Amino acid sequence: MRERRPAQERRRAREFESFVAGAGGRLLYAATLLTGEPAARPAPAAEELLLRALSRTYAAWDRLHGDDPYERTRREMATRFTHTARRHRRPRGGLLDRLSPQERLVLVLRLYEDVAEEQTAAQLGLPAERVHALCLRAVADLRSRRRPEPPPAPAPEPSAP
Amino acid sequence: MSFPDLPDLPDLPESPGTPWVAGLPDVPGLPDRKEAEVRRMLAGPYPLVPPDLAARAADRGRRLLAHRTLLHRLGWLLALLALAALWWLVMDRPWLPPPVHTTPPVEGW
Repeated sequence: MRERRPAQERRRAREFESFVAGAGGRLLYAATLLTGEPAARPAPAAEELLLRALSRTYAAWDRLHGDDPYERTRREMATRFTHTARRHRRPRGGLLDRLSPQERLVLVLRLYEDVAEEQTAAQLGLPAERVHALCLRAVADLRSRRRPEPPPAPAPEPSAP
Repeated sequence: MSFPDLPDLPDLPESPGTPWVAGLPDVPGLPDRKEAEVRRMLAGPYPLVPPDLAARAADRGRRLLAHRTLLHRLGWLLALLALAALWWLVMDRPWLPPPVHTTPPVEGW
């Protein structure tokens, strides 16, 4: 037991490092979307969020039992974000910074991570209809801001009076 | 029919739950297209990951594990102490009066 421990720790560290090397960028980008920080600049809040989620994944590494570490980290991140949502309310200049934290979380889980609606609802402890409504509202909000001129039908008609 | 403002999505199938209503672009039958548009907005280039992120996370994770192990051990210690106390209570029964050692010596018969 005593002799096995360092070897096991080294193996865990190695596996963890390769996991972070592969998934770090994607996870950090999801974190910047959540915290509302621009992805181009260093994002301390997003980094802290990701760091905490990753450390918990590391602590659970030997008990993952075939679970996807990416999914685990994402879940940790979502939970942590839910608990600290109040800190991320003010806009920081990112893509989603005008949405409420809950809308951001639903949007990121549903559309960026492609998590099914029921699964998202179960994870956040919300009814599926609420998740659906939040997602629709976030999508509408984001599209209306992206294009000030409404692309579908009711565009200002240049007809003469 | 054609929607000049809605880009073509060759490899995204329409979900079966949303009816396609032709000619009415803003009815709630088109969330797939809108969602696909937002999906594309979200698919930005990944930011640069700090090179020491994994090491820092592993450090923190190790500390977390050590902390948990310590809490576990403290819990076990408390449980054992409680068990020992219970054992002592059952065997010794300290609430009973002490046995009487004051019987007068029997003499003279």
